[in-house]
Amino acid sequence: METFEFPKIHSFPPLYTKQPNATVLQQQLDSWCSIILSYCEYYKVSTISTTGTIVYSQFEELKIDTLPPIFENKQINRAVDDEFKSDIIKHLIHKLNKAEYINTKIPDQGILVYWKSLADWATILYDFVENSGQLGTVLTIYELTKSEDSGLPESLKNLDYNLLVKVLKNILIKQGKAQILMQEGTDQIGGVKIV
Amino acid sequence: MNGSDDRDAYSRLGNYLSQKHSDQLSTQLAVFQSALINFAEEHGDQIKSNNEFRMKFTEMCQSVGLDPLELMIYTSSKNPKRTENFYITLSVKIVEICQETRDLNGGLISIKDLLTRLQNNGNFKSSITEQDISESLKVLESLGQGYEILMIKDKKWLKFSLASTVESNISNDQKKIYEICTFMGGYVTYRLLMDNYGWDRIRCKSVIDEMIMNGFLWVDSQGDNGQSQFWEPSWIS
Repeated sequence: METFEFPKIHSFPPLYTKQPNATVLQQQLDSWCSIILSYCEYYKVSTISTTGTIVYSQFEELKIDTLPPIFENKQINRAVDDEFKSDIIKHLIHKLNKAEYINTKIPDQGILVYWKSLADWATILYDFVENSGQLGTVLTIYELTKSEDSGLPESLKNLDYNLLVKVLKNILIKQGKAQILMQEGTDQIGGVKIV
Repeated sequence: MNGSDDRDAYSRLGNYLSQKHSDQLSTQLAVFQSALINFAEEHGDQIKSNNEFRMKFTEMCQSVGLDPLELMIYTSSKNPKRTENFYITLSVKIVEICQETRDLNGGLISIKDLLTRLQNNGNFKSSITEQDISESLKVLESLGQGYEILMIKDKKWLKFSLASTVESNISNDQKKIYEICTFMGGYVTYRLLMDNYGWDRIRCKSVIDEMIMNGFLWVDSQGDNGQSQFWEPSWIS
């Protein structure tokens, strides 16, 4: 796979220093968020850590630790410090609503990045189940994200479990379109019924 | 076994049909867009002279996702003979670009950058020249002194400010800073100003701080030897 091509602003040295001018700072935060979103979309990354390292990608073959870092540019010898990273992540979560903690109580579990909105994911999931004639059938997580030969669309393949949970709980269950069954004795979902 | 085969076949058919449907729709949209462009090229004058016609046409453009302003610029830029109307339209577009990029560049855009943005606008590539920009700026002059062209070290820039803050001219000291930036490939440091112009620290600080406040310079605190660098944001584009 070709390496992600960062936009030109990623080589602009002051991008790595928090700007004192408030208007410029907003612009800077927007630029960072747009870099994160296009990077994650390119590598199909759904979870990153609070310091911007990659936690999960839908591409199975991808070696996550060989990917170029988001918050660092070795060519110009610049990196974002942890405090500013946290400002950027906050901007992405609270200002742009393009990300969310997996579990707000345990931030170290990571952040889900929504380069595709939960509602869009829900539509894809629902359409797949409907088009494959499986409405009302209890499906396993495996069938929804791994199955090789059931016409599972490329975009759902290896979908992050944590992301799937958000799609189900925040969208489909609220719309009355899904029910989930927990696996006995765990907090993991065992089966999903889309109706 | 059979049940699952059927299911697969149905789902493949379903996917195929919905893909085909969406392909057809986007083809239709593209055809319609290009029909509108052709229409605008042929009937440009009537569209411009007839108010009701123009309104209807604009509505149609918007409903298929074409910017009527861009379309007007595109069709008139094909005509080597420029009309006053063309310059007015273009000047509106220039103001639009300046407003959009203001937060990023603090109100100073290089003519080269402006020209690229005008030429590659959305769906169209139009043959706009630097001369066209100067002519359009003349149109804007009648509205006040908000827009002016500056020469800084052989490079042309467009400086623009909001109508209410017209007096914010670029001082000589600020100009000197731009000169160093151009020379250094985008940035300036206290040291460079002191060594080249013999300024003292206080003068450097006050000019630079003011420029930061106005969004003309970005701070980079990770420069070589821990020296802060101050970057001129037009570098990005």
